[in-house]
Amino acid sequence: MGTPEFAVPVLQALVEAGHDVVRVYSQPPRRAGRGKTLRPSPVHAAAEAAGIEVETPESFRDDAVLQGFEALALDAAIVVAYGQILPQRALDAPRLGCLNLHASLLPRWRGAAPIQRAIMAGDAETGVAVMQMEAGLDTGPVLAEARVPIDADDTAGTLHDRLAGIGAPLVVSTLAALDDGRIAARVQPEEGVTYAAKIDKAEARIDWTRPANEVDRLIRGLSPFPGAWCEVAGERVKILISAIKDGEGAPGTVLDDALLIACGSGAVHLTQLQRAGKAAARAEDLLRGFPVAAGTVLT
Amino acid sequence: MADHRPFVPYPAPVLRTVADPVDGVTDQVRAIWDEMLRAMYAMPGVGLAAPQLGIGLRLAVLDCSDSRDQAIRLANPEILWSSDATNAFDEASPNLPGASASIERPAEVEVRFLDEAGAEQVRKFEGLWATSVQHQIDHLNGRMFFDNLSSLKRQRLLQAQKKRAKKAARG
Repeated sequence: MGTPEFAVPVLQALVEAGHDVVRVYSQPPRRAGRGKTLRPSPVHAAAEAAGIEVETPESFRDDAVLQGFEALALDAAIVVAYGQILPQRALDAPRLGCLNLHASLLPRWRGAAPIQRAIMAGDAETGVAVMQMEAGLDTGPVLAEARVPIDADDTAGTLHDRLAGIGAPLVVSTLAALDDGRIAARVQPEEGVTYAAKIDKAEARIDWTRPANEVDRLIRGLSPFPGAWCEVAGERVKILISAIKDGEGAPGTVLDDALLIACGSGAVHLTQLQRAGKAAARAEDLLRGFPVAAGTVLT
Repeated sequence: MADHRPFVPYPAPVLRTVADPVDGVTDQVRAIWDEMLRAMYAMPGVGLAAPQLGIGLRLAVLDCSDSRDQAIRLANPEILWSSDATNAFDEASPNLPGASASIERPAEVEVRFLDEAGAEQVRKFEGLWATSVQHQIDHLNGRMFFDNLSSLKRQRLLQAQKKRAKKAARG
């Protein structure tokens, strides 16, 4: 069960490992793009390409959906960012239960936005965890985890791809170990619980009075989606990549001709930006058609 | 004496401002919740956020029960998770009387908040409860329900509202 890109490598790894993937559940096709055409989810498309039967129920609480799920008599269900809550009856149906891949080192960053929040908080490392699903939000016992460092130039996008890459083999190895009885679930400690709240649009506006390291983390944590933004000469511009640099000035002031911006303390260099309705561009390319003079104040 | 402060008329700045978190659940916070509940039940409505009474704090109340006795008080609520699956309900606001629109929102949300005892709760909401809690959190972030519409539909709603207000003023 899964929906976005993050779940696709897991499905592919399960198929490659020789598992008999009898069915894939995904969110129904949604209207997307300019023509607003119905588009199947990334997992839906990948499952069809692999010749696997796909179901896209509106709600898993529907009795017919639950009966159909129980009738599969599964060994295990693998759930990765499926996008809806599974009732207890579904969690109990497979012999080994439902396993969930979550993009953090639990109990840190339970919730919707673990990748973004880890970068925004300045964490030095993060990871992925496979847990036995329970009714609570990401509260289940952890079966396995894998760690990765967060680099100074990581964005949510690059970290997402790395975590999806290590998550897929971890799910496969965990499933094998669980089936052999070679694995012990670790109950999540009460200590160290934090929540990765969904990103609210109101958080995405850059506050230049914050220190440079915080501004930089906000920019990288929200890149590429939804994208931190500020106003440049009255126009709303998304900032997609930045780096911390030396510099002093009134917060928001452009300090040179290459988008070095003063923060509450220190400065950030903006290296990739996106104007409304335009493609993302490197700073030097953007400046060619949209000059931003030193002394301009971003708000 | 009115038993609650009046609803501030849109577009009051307090409705367009990100509200401040409360430091904890004090008697003063509890008194505001009680006032909000009186206002919500009097409307009658299924939820209310403090900025709607001109109070710039992250406080909300909900009651979507038919029996009107299942009030939930929330301080500093935040959405931890929301479903991809959506629901649509007609939404309206006492701050902009007469305007309403069908708004599509996630059908299920997990919300963290401080309850009336000041204890942290993580709670699942679905159906109308999910829509109401998201509507209230929008208020706490300076947003109105119609901000979730396309710009065309939003403009139409606000223009129709202006006409209605003019008509009412002429009597």
